[in-house]
Amino acid sequence: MSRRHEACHAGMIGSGGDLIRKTVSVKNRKGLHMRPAEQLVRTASRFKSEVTLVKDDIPVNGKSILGVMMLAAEHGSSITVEIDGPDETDALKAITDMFDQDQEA
Amino acid sequence: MSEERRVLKGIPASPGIAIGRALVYNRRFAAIYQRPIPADGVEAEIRRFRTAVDEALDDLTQLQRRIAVDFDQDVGKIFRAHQAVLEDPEVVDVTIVRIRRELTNAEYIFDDVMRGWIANYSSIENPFFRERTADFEDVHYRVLAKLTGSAQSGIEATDGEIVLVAHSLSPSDTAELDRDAVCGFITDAGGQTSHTAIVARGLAVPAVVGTNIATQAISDGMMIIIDGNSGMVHLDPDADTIARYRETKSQLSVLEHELQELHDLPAETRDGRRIELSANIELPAELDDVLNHGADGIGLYRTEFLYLVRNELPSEEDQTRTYQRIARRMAPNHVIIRTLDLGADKMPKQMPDEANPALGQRGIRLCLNRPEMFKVQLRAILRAGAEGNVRLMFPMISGLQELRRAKALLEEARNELLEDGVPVDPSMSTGIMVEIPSAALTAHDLAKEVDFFSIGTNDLIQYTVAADRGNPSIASLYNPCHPAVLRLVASVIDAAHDNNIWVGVCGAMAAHPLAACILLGLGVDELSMSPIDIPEIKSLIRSAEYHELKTITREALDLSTSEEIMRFMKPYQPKTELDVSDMLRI
Repeated sequence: MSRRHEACHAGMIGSGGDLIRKTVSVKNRKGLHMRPAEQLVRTASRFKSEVTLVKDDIPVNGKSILGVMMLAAEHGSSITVEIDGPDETDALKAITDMFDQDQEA
Repeated sequence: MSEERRVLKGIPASPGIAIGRALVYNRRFAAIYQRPIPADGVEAEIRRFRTAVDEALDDLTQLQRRIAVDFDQDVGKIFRAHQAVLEDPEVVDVTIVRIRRELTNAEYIFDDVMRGWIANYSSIENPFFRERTADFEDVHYRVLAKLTGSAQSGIEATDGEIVLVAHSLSPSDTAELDRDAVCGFITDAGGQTSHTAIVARGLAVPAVVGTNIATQAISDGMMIIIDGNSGMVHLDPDADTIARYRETKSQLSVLEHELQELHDLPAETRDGRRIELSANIELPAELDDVLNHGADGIGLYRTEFLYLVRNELPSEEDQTRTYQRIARRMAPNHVIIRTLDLGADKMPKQMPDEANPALGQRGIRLCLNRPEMFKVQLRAILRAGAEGNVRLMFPMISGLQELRRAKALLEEARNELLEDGVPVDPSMSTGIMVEIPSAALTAHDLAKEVDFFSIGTNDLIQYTVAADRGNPSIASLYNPCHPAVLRLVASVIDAAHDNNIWVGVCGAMAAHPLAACILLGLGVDELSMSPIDIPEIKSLIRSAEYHELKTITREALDLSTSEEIMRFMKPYQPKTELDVSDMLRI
């Protein structure tokens, strides 16, 4: 339990500015499993901004493979991507694009 | 005397003698102690942690390369995900922040961070995600081993003659083995046909499984003798015992060498009956062994490994490549590819939990329920068969309807490929494993619609006597010479011959000298076994009189217990040219 809260924290301590968000759905038939999760984390890590993924009110650090896998996001589940930081627009586009393409890795 | 020394008794899983020092491969970590770090030592502690992480990352890169060579490239990619964990800020950065804040040693903090994650994962409902904990534990272990400086930074960090002691060995464990360093295996779990046993035999390394307590009784560095023929494990033996085993070991290697000379001779009885002797394999890496031991072909290629070592299904291209590699290497000899037989003891993590997997959705049942997945494999096999030496075999067929459904899918796959202009074998020889009593009892009907039978005695015995072959406490019930088993086998052989198709045996029974004599007498056309067993069985066949065995085994079938049958048959088991059986099978 405490772990979840810490992950939550890491994602939420942002720059205090306005965060931008978009809700996407998981198109991969096998869900957000290890390989697409790893690609997602690599993409998120390229940006300076804080990246948080929220599913069923649980927020996780989008740069953390353990966090992203923790969402246990199955095919069709919906995830809100929240980005806060200097390159937030580019980051949001790059990440939501990944979701929009069928991540059939 | 040696009697005072401790001896463990397990199930002999792979023959031969190994003498070496124990390495206990224990996924439960060594005790991690909490140690305060002085404020001026914090940066050094953080550097120590970073170094451990970097070393673990390097190991994973190397492992990925090695596996790409030994197995196939996609398998190695699993370890990419492991690397991602070591680059995870919630692991690495959080550990560093906490070392600094709590002035505590790196292994304690890292262990605490990883345990927190693993505890969270074990509460996830979706089993596929929940079971990722195994991957995370792998990483956890790897870094802790670096930090605690224990010799166990994986099984590979060893030298000399190492006897590996483990509770059980998973496919990824075995992929990591340094085959030059490990001279034998001992496991707590498993039976004669468990994954560990199959791999040990494939690698020609002595093994004893099902000891129950080996990991508790044995400590690192202890001198160990494995007798893979009797299933005895000697712990910390005295000098006399070691000398005695060294002597036997060198005799065995002379014998092995002499058996090698049988390499180019046919498996033909004294009175001219020729048997095909082929090999069971699981990995392309075993092909050297197959060729070295003089096999006539591959009688059983188990394709599960392709599916077990990765988190997702292998693609048609991957499978085609792997199958082609094997077929080309073996040409002009044949390769029998068995379609996916997942389930039961080889249950992969993404499969649904079943209360009774051995009687559940496994083998052809699973494949017929997932035709899209199944057709990917069928297409790959048909493509690999374009050069003509591949045969296809369906596992776990229980009756004619199942066989017809499987053949219809095969036909669909073939037509699709032909329409696309992809080269395939237009008339691939197709057979079934006969391993369920209902199939054995309806063999006459099945024989009319296939090109061959291969009797899978491991499962046929287990299903006939209702004894789990992996359960050591009832191992004695699992007897290949049970009259019910032998009568079923005889009826399957007769059904095949009445319908002019050939019939083989690909279970462990084929490599058991006395049972092999019985099978020979019953008229079997092919025996398929681990490569290392081939020379011995070939020698046995070359010393046998087929017509004598034929008469005698039919009499043996009328006896009512396995003891009577074995006692009756024993005098007819030929003394081989090299008298192997007395020496190897005590």
